[in-house]
Amino acid sequence: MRYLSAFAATLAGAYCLTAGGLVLAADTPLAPDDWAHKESPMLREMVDAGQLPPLEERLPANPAVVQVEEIGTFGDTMVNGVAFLRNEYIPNQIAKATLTTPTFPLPSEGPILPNVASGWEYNEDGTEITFTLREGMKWSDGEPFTADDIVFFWEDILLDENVTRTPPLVLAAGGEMAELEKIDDYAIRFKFAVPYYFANTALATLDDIAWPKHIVGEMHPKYNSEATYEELNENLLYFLGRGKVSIGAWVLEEYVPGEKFVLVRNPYYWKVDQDGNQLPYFDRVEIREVEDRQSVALGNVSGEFDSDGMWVGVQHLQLFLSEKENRQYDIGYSSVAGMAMYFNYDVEDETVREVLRDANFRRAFSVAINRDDINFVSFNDLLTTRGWAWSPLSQYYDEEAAGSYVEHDEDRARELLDEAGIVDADGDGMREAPDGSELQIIVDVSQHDLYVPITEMIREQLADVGIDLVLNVQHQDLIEERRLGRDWHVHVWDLYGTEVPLANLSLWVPVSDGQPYWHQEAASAPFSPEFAEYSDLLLSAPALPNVEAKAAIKQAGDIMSENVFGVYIGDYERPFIKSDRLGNMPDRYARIQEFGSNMPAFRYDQVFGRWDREN
Amino acid sequence: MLSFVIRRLLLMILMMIVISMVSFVIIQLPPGDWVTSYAAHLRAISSPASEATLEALRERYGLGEPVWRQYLFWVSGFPRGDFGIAMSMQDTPVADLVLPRFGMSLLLSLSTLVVVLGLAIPFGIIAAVNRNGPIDYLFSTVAFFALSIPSFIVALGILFISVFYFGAVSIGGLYDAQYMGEPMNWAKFKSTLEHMPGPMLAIGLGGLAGTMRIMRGNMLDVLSQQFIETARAKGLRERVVVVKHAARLAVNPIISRVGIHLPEIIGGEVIVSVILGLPTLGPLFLRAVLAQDMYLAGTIIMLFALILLIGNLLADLVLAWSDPRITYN
Amino acid sequence: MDATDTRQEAQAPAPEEEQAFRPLSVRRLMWRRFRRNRMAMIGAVLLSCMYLMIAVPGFFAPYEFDRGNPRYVFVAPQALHFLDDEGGFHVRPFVYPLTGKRDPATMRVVYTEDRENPQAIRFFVRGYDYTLFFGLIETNIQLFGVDEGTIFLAGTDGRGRDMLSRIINGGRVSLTIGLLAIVIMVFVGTAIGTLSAYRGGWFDTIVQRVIELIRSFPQLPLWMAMAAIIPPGWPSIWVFFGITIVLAMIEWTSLAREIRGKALALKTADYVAAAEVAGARAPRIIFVHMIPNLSSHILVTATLAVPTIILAESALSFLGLGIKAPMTSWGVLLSEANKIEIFRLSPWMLTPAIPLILTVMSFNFLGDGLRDVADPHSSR
Repeated sequence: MRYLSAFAATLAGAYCLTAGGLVLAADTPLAPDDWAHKESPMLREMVDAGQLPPLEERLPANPAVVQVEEIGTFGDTMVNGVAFLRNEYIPNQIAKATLTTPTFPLPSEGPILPNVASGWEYNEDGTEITFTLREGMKWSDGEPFTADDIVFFWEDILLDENVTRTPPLVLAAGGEMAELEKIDDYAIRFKFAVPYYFANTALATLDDIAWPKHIVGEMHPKYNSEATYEELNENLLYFLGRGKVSIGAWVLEEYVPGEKFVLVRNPYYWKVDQDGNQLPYFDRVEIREVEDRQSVALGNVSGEFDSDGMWVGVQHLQLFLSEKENRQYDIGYSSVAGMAMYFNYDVEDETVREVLRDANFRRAFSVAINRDDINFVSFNDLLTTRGWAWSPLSQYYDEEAAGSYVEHDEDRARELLDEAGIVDADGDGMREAPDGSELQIIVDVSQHDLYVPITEMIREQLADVGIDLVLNVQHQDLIEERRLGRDWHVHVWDLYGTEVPLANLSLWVPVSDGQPYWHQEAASAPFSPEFAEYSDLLLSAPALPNVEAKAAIKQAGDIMSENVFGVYIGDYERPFIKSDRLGNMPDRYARIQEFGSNMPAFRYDQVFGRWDREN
Repeated sequence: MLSFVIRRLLLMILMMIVISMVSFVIIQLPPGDWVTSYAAHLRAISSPASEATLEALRERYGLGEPVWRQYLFWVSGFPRGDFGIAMSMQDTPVADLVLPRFGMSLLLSLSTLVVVLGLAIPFGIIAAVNRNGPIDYLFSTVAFFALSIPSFIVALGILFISVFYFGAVSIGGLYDAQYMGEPMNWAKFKSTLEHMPGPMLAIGLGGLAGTMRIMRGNMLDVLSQQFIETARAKGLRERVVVVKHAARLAVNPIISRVGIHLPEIIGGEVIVSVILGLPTLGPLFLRAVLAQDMYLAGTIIMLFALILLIGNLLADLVLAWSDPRITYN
Repeated sequence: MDATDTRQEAQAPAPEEEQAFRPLSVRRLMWRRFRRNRMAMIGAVLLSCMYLMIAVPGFFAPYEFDRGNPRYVFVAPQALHFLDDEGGFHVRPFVYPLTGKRDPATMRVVYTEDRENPQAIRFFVRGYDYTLFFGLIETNIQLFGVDEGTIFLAGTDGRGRDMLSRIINGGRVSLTIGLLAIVIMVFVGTAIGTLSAYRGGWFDTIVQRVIELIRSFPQLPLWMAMAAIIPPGWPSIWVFFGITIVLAMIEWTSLAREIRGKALALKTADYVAAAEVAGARAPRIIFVHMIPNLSSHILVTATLAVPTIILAESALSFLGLGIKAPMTSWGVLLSEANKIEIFRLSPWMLTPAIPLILTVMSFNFLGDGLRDVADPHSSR
């Protein structure tokens, strides 16, 4: 945790400063001759053959300069494995180009930084933010990238009701979607209904900001009378062609369904290292599809794959360590949020509902859990326990709140249950509901090789204080199906959104009807006065000036931890694996779901191969 | 005989129609559809889609329609070679996805079958002839071991040994990575042959042992029959008696078992392919079922069924040819 | 085969070494013949032991199978010692208590033996509570245990659960699921197979098509559909019976087909024709003339099907559709062990394979023995 809590200050710094007035973040441009001929041999050949303009003409006037740890070498292919996320997510993540970006690999150590946008500026009252783009920046096919592409994506794709894409909720402030305005070719402005100092952070969470108007526009009925919406909707997918033109580091070269996809470097990529070498270093990225986590782990051990932080986990750490001596890889750690148990406050079963709505029951649930045992058994002693509170990675972190109802205490649990009227009336060793009926709480957990054993341990620990949990272990899809309904009692999943709660407020409070999913009636009938208070605080926060917003969110955090709105186990150090041949890979990073769960943290565009692969 | 074959062929077509219907319904039995599982995926990567997006997707794939209309929509494309699109596979046409894998599955299944029969029958004969002798016990012991170990353990064991004891870099596949996506050619085929023994072992081991035991049992049955005694009494050499007279008869139930053996191989192939990451229909099918991608899953079931029906027909024909006592009327 | 075979059976010639003057009953003859097959006897004894063990798992399992001891994760099997450090021999074997400490380099918990404090095994110790005979007797006596420390003869799993206790309790499911499903399968498969062969015509066609239809489906979607439909609140025992029936209902088809194949050949046998000419009715022909002649095949197939069923259950577990916790089975245990890190670091978790192999072997040897007894031709 030591390096994490700094995040509060720095993320705050990213936009707290703005409360006082204007802030402008921008890169210092390089002199043109600095970057001459600093490109991959693969591209130089194409330039020499006349297939490509020289590097100077391909880069924008002010390319983004990245301070890399080690100046890399060009060429070769990076090969990674992928299991069960066989859609555009992976290529999008590997080559994503967001408008702004958090500091990587540890967002806690720096502010929100320029990326596609070279800078931004808030207006006086924080209701508008203007982004400056990079002049001369180009799509991977050489066409200019301008504000038109962003506006096209916003208006004709996201806002067009006939197109199956919807605008991101994170840009809806004060209940209204932001408006986008083109200032000139290299400047855009978002306007919000209320002050929204979260905007520059919000844009770091949006993977897609622009689509090539010169290509997708051709498929759009608005620009091409022969096009139909039906065809447009069918052609939106990355793999059907859109992926071949991008502003990311790599573009799609080949896709073999079910086997692999290959990305090839974008000759017009707009980032350079401090020496002026055009990034990325790797000419190609190949992603091979395998069937499960284990195959990814094994492929990284055997050397077939170069790195992974997404599918390998704590269960592989001992294997990795045991083989480390014989093989060419290293292990790093990422800080990540762990397992949470969500209570359904609107469950159909009335007895269970009343029990779940009782704060003392939830408190008892939390203190009946022996987190130290779970840490020892499942997390290699690398868990930092936490209650239902904001993350130490957030600026709302409060040590006391994070520690409430976390300490294992069976007697306390029994007292709290007695107070809640949940007692063992018939003397069978298990407690009954206050109305005297049998109390059996079903815990939905998907087939997760970490969460199932933990949930089993929790079942044993709760049985010790007389609470009968029944595990419903099923495939993730089926659990998800149940989650969307009203039938479930307790749902086990990752804890999302405690690092940057404003990025996805609907996880916490009823931004609209049916939210959050664990309290679908929250908008009309909050289950307790405490919840109503917490809900009001969070809903009001985005429009408040920063200092007040922070206070409101912290207060909401105190309420939710005191009332144990859910049960959380803690954050942990999750291992990742990287081949020794990769240069510029971090040893540590923080995984924050809102900023992409792990791929961007590696910033693969800076990673290079010290030697070429054999296969 | 000819009329029998024609009748069977007609029946096969009828069967395929029934299978297509039943499989389509079965795939849709679990609650939810592809869009729900897609939404689950999106949530897993914390970029949940809005209800409107999901609704649009449902409409696009016709998922809101009644099952029979979806079914008709699906089968109406068959004559054109259109088996629908694989929703879970970035809208790739199903036909493009399954055809190369169908070839791989067929190659793997049939070669496993041939190897299994080719080894099981002689082993079974040897065990039977040496009944209760050391060879019989050895064979039986090995067979029981093979029978008792689940194929997923065998598959992972093979992978484990190859990576940790032979330093293999590749963690599976049916050909070297460089051939991915290439059309079949000689080099790829050669690479495929080199990769096949492991998967064949994992898929066929249980079946090999089982078939060997059955062959042994049949041989013992036949060997104790009177005509064998007669043949022996006539002074025929034991070898001739065993191979020409006994084995030919004993092999019949094995042949009629082929039709049963094939789906076992296919089932084993699904599990083994998942662990070894083989580019066969198996893993694709598992993914399709989990993602409730009904067009893809339905098409693969039909392909599996086709392999089986053809296998059955051939088995019946061989049976009729090899055992004149069986009549078809 | 021909009509003379049945006569042979009726006469059942006494084996040469039979010296008694009093003719033995058929049953005793069979028993003698069975007893002479040493492997079959071993199989029968082993199976009896295993079924006895699973009848009272609480007595034989030293620990509760579904309760982990969080301080003892991935403990390798503890050795039973007879010799102490001074070289003294003890008739009563003992184990050394363990203390675990995480090695920061490997992150594994290393367990060191406390050599100063050997713990002799005690028999009939009082441990956890369990009930016998469907809850009639409540007791807490286990066959063996130690006073202090632990005794994990087969090691522990990642949650600190005793593997031996898990294997014994898992056998409960595996051994019964095999038998139950086989009973259903033999009954249905034989009846339909012979009938189909004997009746022929449209009945045969329909049965064959239905069998083909069932066998044409990779079982996967069928099972997935089942898993989705089974309500989550169902107790493990219901799920267990559900899975048994599903397995049997798919497996009967293979037996039915084989039986049909054999029966087709039998149908044209002279003695069946003779029986028909003599005016025997269909049930008589099927039950008296055909099924007895198929019995050896049924036996061999049934014994071979036991592992098929047990393994099918394990495949279901591998796909996450098998027996639900807290119940366990050898298949569940093996699929829990089917991880590369287990193969590498905790291979003792693969021990459930040993009882599985023993069971399969025993059933097969037993089947062989029964076959000798039932089959009149195999006297040698």
